[in-house]
Amino acid sequence: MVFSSATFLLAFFPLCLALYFVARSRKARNLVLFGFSLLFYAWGEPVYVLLMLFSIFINWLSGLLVYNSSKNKTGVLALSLFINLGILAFFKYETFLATNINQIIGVNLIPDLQLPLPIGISFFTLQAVSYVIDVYRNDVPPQKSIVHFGLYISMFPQLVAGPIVRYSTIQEQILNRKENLKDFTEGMRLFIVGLAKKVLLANIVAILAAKMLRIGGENIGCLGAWAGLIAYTFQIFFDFSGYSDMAIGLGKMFGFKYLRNFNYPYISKSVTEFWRRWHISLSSFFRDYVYIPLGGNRVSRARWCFNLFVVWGLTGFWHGAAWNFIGWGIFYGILIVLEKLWLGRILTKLPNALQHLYCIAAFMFGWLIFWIEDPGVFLPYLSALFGAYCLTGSNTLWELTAWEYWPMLIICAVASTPIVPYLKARLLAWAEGSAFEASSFFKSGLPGEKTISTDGLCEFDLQRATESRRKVLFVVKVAIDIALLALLLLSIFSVVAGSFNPFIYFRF
Amino acid sequence: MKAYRIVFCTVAIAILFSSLSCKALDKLGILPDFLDNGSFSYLEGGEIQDLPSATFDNVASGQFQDEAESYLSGCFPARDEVLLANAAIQRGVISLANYPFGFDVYPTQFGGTKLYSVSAGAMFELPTAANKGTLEAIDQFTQSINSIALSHPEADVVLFVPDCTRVTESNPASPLVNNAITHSSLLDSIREGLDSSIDLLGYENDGTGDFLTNFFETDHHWTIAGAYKGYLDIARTLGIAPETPSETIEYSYQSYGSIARQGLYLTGTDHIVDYRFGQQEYEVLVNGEERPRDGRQSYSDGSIDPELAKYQSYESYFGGNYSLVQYINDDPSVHGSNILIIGDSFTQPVEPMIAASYENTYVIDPRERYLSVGIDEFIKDHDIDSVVVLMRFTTIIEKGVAEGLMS
Repeated sequence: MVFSSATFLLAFFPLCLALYFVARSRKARNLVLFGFSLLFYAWGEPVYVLLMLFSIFINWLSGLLVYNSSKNKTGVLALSLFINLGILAFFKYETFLATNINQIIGVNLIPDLQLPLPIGISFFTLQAVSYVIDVYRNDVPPQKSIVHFGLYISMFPQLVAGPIVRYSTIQEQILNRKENLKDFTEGMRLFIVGLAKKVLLANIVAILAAKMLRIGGENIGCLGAWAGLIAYTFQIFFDFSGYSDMAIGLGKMFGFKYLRNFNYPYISKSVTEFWRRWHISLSSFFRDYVYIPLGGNRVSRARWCFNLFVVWGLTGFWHGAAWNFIGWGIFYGILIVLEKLWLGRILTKLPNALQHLYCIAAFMFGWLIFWIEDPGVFLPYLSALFGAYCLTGSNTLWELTAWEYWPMLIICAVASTPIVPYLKARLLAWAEGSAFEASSFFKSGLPGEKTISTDGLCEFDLQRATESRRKVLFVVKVAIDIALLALLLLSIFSVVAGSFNPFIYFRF
Repeated sequence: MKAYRIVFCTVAIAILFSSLSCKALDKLGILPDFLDNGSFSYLEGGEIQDLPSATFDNVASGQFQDEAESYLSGCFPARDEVLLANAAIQRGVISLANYPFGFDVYPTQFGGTKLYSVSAGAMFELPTAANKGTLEAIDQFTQSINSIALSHPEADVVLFVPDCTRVTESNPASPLVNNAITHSSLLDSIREGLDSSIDLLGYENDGTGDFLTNFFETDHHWTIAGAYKGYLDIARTLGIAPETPSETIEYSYQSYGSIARQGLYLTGTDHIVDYRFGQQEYEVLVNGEERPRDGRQSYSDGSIDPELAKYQSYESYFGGNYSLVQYINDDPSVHGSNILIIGDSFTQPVEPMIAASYENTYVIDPRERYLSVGIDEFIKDHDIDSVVVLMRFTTIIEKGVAEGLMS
């Protein structure tokens, strides 16, 4: 099941909310959530839900065994990792490995099973792995209740597309969270924002991106190729960050506090910064469970480069079982090594605009690698970007249809910036009668890089406003909430109308 | 602040519960009419999904989940209005985007193939660019027609390809598409491979104004005027005396045609105009059963369902698509003459005109979903004198049609 479906929005979600809040005890509420999470997964994966249950059982048991055995602790951890990664490798990478190994040796040694990928396996496997390692490191105690552990692994808000939630983040919340109206309201607002990002922005620009890719570089020319790539750049951001917002919002409604997963990545001035803002839960997973155990940066320069390439190769491979994903990871590995060695120093001396431009060019080229798996399609598309097929290829400007989307692309561009926190900060400063420090639009109102908790973007503290300006602030607040409700309606309209609604996480 | 939050959350949750609560109110019989979707969507032209029942097989295959998704979408209050509103928003953005470009014609939805022409105030379909697959399909169709003519040299074979929204040069979008297939280029392609014994017909419209006389403004079909023009060409070629209309009938039901419905843009309306031809009384068999082939009677006595008249006027007036329709004309002057018309919905207004000149007029729809007879056998068994193939471009290139013609 996906969030942007009628089944979820008009039945699953309201029924889940109703039953959850009808249940009075924590245990009953957790059971409701666990049951609905299994239903959520089984709806899309009626068979693979058994695989997820197996994973829950194995990791719950591993946690207990790792914690309780003093001698074979490492062995149990190794076995658990072997099973987790084995499951992931078997279901996600079998076809890729079989095809490539058979091609290299020239014999069909490994059968290509062409297994359908269990949705979300990459996410729940990483969560499970992080839990067992954390227990091994004594960072967290093991979870004794299999229902509570199952809830951690299968919680439907983050099951399909993240964020990757650490057990340490929610271990207390599983038993001791407190739902309240304020969090519920903030969660609902964030959910609506995420849904609108996915349905009203990502899905629309996805039509353009999909069309340009389908027609191919030769036929769309320079204009079509750039329009398609820009559209894809926005599609993946609003789709992914929209899903994360929905997940975090849903969690908040149920009393869970997940960490922020996206922090306006497209305003970054370097690739290093981009990856501190993009899919934060994944970057921090690889940092804590791969990069640092390999020695991090406290090693020789050669070893450090090796560590970075391992991390980025794995990051790419995690995103999909194809060479383009590995290439995409290594592309970022190279850029990050270069930035750390010398490029970063040069960049900081450049005007801000050039730094932004460099980063935009880098991540857009990255998305091109990520987007196009087939080299036979990639090369003509790349050539088209540089004008090999004139301005519009074999199509006319009208036929290309890219012109239809410029208002949407402008909205996407504006929505990619921290305009909301900026305006909010300005408004609050005005309401409080304090001076607004507009040192930089790109820094205003942003949570610090280390404080990545989700703040209530739509929440105003009216008490801080001066008496005379409180009413204005309240009117703005009401206007924003009415706009949010309108966005919810429009998003549902779009879902009910059966508009283009691609699911881009089938490779994850 | 607490009360404020409660109001906000209550409204949001009420929106989320809208489908389920409307269904519940419907069961109780207290759902207001304007929210009730009924069991059929005239706008979409199909049944609204019923609540599916789960079985092991349909859950495992995902069919149940798909049907549940359709069911819940279908339960959303005032769904047709929702579809139109959603499309209107998209159209508003496209119209804004078009402002600096000033194109006369633009799609009614993102990624849509239905177009609105500002100058003509009418809807058109996206013209088709010539590509290898399309040209191959045209060639395959031509060979199928050849095969009919060569297998039955005793029968006159006439192929009529109407100008239509997808290929007409009267479509304002036609010059905007590179290498678009036009009606004349389509006829040229067919003529190239067509056996010389076959007469190829198809009149061109003289500009958008002429096209909108011969075709509906919101539908892909021709009007009675366009159909009659085609009939005159066919009659002349077959050597039959054409019927002359004795009366023009005009119905006031305002209708939205297929392009408007599919483009979800209910701008402008059409209405049914028909010609009456003296005494045209036939016995009509539809798939072997004697019953009316069209809805002329229900329009004239006012018993037509207004929703059908509004959203499916062509089909509800001229008749739907069937595997086999037979007109039996007991006029002694036409005794012993039989004609077979093979075609799509474009044949419907023409059939009774042609039927005036033959004792038996058979109509076969060659599309896979309708075809139930072998055409070769049928011509042999029914002593056919003339064969008229009449179908628009999209049917010509439709998968399975060429094979069906050779059956």
